[in-house]
Amino acid sequence: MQREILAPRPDWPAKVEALGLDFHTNDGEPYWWEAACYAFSAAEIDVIEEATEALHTMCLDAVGRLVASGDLGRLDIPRAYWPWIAESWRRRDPDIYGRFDLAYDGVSPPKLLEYNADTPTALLEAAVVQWYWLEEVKPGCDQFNSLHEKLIDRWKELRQRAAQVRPGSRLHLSGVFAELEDRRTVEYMQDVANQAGWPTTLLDVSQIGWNGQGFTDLSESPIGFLFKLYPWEWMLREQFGAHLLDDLIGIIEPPWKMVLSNKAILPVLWEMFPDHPNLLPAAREREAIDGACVEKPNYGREGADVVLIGEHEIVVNRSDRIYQALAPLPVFDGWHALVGSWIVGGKAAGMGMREDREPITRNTSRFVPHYFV
Amino acid sequence: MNRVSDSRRSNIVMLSLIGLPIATIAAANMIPAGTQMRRNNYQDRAACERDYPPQQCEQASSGGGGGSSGGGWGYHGPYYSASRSTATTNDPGPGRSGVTPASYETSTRGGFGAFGRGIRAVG
Repeated sequence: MQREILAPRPDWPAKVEALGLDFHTNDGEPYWWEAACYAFSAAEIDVIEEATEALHTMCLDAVGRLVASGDLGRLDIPRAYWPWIAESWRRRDPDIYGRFDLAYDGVSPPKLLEYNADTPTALLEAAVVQWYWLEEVKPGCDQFNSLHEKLIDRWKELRQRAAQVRPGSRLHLSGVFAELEDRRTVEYMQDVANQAGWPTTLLDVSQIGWNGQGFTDLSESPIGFLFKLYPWEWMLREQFGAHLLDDLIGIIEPPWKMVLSNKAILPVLWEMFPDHPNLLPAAREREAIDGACVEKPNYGREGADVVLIGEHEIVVNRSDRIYQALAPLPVFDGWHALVGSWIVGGKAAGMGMREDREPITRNTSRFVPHYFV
Repeated sequence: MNRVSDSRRSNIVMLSLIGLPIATIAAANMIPAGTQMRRNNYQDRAACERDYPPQQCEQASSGGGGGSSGGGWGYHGPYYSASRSTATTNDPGPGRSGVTPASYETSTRGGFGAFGRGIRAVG
């Protein structure tokens, strides 16, 4: 695993914008960064791929155990939704994707830092933009990235399943469209769903209506299947949250994903699979973790409110936090590098690299393309 | 299995929608929580067009929600905020004729999205 310095393509802004990445620079700070790239060996990619699928299997086991035991309270999920989530799991409501954030230095086993199971982003960059970069800049090399094809295949599977339930179904896709990155991500998901044969409609999450009987779009047509780039933990607590229990619509990501989409799952995984090479010790109490650790909020995103705690540092435990052993990211040229490894339809599908000058990856951290030989 | 010989990248990545104008997305103005929306029902297109431009008059579908009367209407206009004081700038309003509609449908919107107005939704 190495970080290479290289010259960016002279017209790179126009090229990435043409692919939908018009958020490549934020407030003058670069987000898409192609003046560098990460290089891996094929063997290292194998390691990442195997770790991703192992983690996925463990996560599914964790969902099954928590649902069976009725122990969803430890995940801060409102009790009223427990039977609904359990039923979603019993049906095995289909999911599309997720992204595991891993600490990996090319030597030690990849370690799970967190799982973005509900609203992962950086999808367009990983699936599309870095693929086109590879074609132009490293044409003889390979890349761990079959996201685009796997997404289309997965949406085709879902289309076949949906047709059995509601023939002629339409897919609605929703998010917070005032956020450019979110809008582009949903648009990309719409693109792959269209290519899979779905008729689609976009609408902002605030435009979803309730007519007293079911959820509707702006044409007052019923919503049968909804892809949402919007967190479950917000929807449950908003005005229409209670209606989720009343209207049986197919939602991606499905309700059972809530079990995985908060960091409280990390202590559960450690309890179930202690000393697994791809897991880090994690607990609800700081004192259960030896040495330096990281305090993470259950529902934080992109590094928000993540705090490093020193080896001998004592803190007051917070009920909305978990504590995870520290696994520093590898540093290349002063950049802390994070592996974002994607799972689509239960299979490892590709990865994207993020880097930052700081040890905690945030929403401002750069996306850097990769290749392997 | 010899993974080293297997290519791991997509064979082809084609996009059909990215980069297109976002006209297909309905007005991106976020709708406040609990906003009641209405749309007028009309017997025919001509009646609708007395209130709205032609492109805002749609033939009624079989789906429908709560409202002041049942079915049997041929056309409806666009949704507008039931409360004029909270209407957004691109709200089409109840119709330029000023005539109270004989029938309208109601729907509540804005029930999702309150958290998303101030916090990043993705990770």
